[in-house]
Amino acid sequence: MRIFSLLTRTTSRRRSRLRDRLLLTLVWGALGVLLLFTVGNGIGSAVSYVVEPIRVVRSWFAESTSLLPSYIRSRNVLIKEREALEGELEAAKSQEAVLQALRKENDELRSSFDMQRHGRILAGVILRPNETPYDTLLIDRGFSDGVIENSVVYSGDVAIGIVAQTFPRSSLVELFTTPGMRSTVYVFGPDTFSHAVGMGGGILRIGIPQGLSLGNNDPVVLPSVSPGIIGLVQHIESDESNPEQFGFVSSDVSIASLRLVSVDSEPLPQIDYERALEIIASASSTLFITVPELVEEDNTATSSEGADTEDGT
Amino acid sequence: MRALSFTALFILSFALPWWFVLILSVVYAFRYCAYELIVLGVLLDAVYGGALSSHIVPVVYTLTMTVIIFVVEILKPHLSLYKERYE
Repeated sequence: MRIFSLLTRTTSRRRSRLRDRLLLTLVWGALGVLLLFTVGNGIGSAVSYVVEPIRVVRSWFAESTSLLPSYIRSRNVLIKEREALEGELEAAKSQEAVLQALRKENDELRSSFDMQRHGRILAGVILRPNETPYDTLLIDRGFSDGVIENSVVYSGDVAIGIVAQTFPRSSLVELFTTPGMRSTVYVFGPDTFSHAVGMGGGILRIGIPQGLSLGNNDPVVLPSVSPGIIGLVQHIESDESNPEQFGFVSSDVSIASLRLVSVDSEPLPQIDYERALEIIASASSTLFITVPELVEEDNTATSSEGADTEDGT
Repeated sequence: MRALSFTALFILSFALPWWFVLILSVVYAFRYCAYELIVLGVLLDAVYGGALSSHIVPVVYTLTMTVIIFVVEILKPHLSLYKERYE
């Protein structure tokens, strides 16, 4: 009776034939290994002569400057080079982004260090608008670090607020743009003092009497501090039926991304009018460049032009 | 045809990377299942293994070809392509 094997799917006769072939394979393999151990070097030398032309062709493709090999090679090389360069470009872009962030932080720290040398206290911003209610900041310096209530807080040279409350290791800063906060400011352009009212969202509203020329980008300064630049007029609303025209001021300082500020070590001083004018003149010299006027020397027309000027017309 | 195939396999074995040689050897083994594959393995080991350190025994190709033929011999009865030969 023939026995059918499920493993080999054959009968006993075929199974024995399969077994013979497997055995033969193993014998061949063992013979091959034995040959390698005994005369392997000799076989290698002999075969090397035979395969030399194949190696020559292979190196021709790899190194020759003829048309076909260089075309195939350059195409492959160019593809690989392009992929490598694309990878390097991506890596460089991400490194550039990191570098820019580090440069910005370095500039902030340098300018804050300069402020520190002028007697200010450097502080980091813990919480900023949208994380805090109203336009307020929470900074990481308190009265134990020398911060005093009612001292001015700066971002660079721009005054942004007043310390409203101090704690041992932190302080709450009210920005000038906090809704309802009123301050006296000086507006260049119309060259007049005005009341500034915080509107929230980084906006300050100033009121100027109708008739005075208020323009966009007119600087607005806090006269009690030096330098006390708050910002520039960005938008004007003027209704002739209203005795006042309104300018809306914002600064270039992005409060939402503010990380470092400097705090005056003295509270906001009470100053008199003359002192305020001095500060304004100092700010003016910082903000504006004086261009000498070109005056035509004309003796015959001088007296009548002078009279017109005195009349104010 | 078989001689021609083996000659082509011999040339390509020395011209192409090892993984290509492996694929071609498997195809050849399934087509012919001839023991000259083991001879090819010996020749490859003799040429490439000669550059190896004496601490390593260069029998990789020989053993690989042996295993390929061994596996093909076992698999063949289970493949419908070859079943008619056994029926």
